[in-house]
Amino acid sequence: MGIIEIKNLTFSYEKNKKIIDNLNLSIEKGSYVVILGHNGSGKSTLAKLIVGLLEAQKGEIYIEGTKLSIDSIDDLRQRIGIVFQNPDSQFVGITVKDDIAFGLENRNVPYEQMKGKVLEVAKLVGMENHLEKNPEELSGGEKQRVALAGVLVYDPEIVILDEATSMLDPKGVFEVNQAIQQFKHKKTIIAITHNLEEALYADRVIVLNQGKVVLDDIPKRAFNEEEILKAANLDILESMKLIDLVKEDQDLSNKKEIEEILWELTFKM
Amino acid sequence: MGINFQDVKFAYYIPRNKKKTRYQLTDVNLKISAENEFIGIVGHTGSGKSTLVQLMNALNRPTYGSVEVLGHKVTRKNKTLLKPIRQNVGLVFQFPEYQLFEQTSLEDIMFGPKNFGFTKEEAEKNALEAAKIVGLNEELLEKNPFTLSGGEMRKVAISGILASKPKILIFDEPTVGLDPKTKNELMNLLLDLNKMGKTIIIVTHDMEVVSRYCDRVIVLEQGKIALDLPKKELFSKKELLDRYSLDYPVLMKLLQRIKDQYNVDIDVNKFTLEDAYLEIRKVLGKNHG
Repeated sequence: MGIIEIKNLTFSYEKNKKIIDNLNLSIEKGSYVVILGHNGSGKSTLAKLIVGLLEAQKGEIYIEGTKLSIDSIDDLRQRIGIVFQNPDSQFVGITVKDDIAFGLENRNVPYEQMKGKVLEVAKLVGMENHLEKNPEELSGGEKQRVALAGVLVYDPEIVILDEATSMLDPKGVFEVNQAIQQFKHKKTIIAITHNLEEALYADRVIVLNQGKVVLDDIPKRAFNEEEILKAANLDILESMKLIDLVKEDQDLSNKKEIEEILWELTFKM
Repeated sequence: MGINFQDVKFAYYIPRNKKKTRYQLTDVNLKISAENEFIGIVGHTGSGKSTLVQLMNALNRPTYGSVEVLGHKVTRKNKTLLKPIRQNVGLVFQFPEYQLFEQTSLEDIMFGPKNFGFTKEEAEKNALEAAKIVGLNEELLEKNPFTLSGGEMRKVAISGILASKPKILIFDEPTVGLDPKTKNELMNLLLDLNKMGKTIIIVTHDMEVVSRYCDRVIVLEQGKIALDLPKKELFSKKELLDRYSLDYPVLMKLLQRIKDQYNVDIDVNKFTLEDAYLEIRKVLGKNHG
């Protein structure tokens, strides 16, 4: 059984317009899963359902075997952290240190223990030299790393990244991805993104369309499903487009060879 | 005639001791034509990109130096008519859909032109034209903009700027938060506007967009123009991309990997799929017979 089990989940904001439509999904412990989908495909809604910010009309979500409900939510929230898209809208503390500690203060952790833990996670995301700063002084990438530290500090099993890098500049994206590498495969990570490149190195790619899972596979196979990706209003990889040109080229005698070269190099780090 | 920056310095705040002024921009000299340009402005967060574009339509005034916009010179304190500047240089902010406020989409689009002195009839005509250009479905025009999807709202907001018939259009981070399909649609719209003769300026972090759509790239660093050069020149100099930590476009990365892996003489400086393919074919392809 997966760390997250979703069974027949259905959710709608208004009547007759299902955002999540009888969705089934199982996510393995320690895996790094990327969820892709166009604007309005239900990705962010799914994330909010998993962390209990929204309540589904039908179906069940199990976290480590416990069913998500009004009775279990307080306990289950300790095991899940979420980082949102906008770096400017998730701060509560006056200093970076306070902000990271917020999640622990809420859980009545003793001061000395809190101090050590804050420093530990700040180091993990490379923000240990900014602890006394006001979050407002930080760059986007730094802010998102603080948000990440604020989640990691209470040691959740599952970390959800809801387009956590989409508003950052390339340097910021790089920094956040470096930070994620520090706990990849130690925690279960669910990354929601539009960026196909970010999905290349995931353990698994899940594509949502109209509230349903339309594709669920390892990246190498998933990105080969051109028709499904297009039907889900997603782009296909540039190398896939090149391979299509190879296929159409009548004069070329070593098609297979070039196709393989392009495909192999796409997944090379 | 277009936009002409001369020795511009800009600070949001000047302390009593002027020597302690922290300038957001310094030594800016820049010429932009009012026709046919497609410019990408890139640089890290805090490098001065947004400040720079806000000087282009007089939302900011230069602290020192002058900015001439379509013949209207703006300095720190001089009296200039700002309306013609604001009308002719349309600025679309990041997440423009947050700025809608009227009861119907049509009224929202008409707000700009009405403000710039167009009659109600002209404003409506312009609004309908603008909606058509951006591909906004006519039936949506009578709807409350807040009931539309995010992508549609963004189209309403852009129509609102287009309806005032600006010559120059500036977009601050236009593709942030859009999925690939919506992003392509939007960028192709900007390309169409560019082909109609308008100058398009985009502030972006997305080097994919820059490599595909822009002709000229301005790189800002710490409030200075570090580079101002044709796109092809920027992407042909790997050391420049590395020095300013700019991302390589995906196609370039792939070509570079082919070059490294197979030790072949391949030109990595290709930006369209077709060009990249021809290059790969030339180097790796074998013909029948």
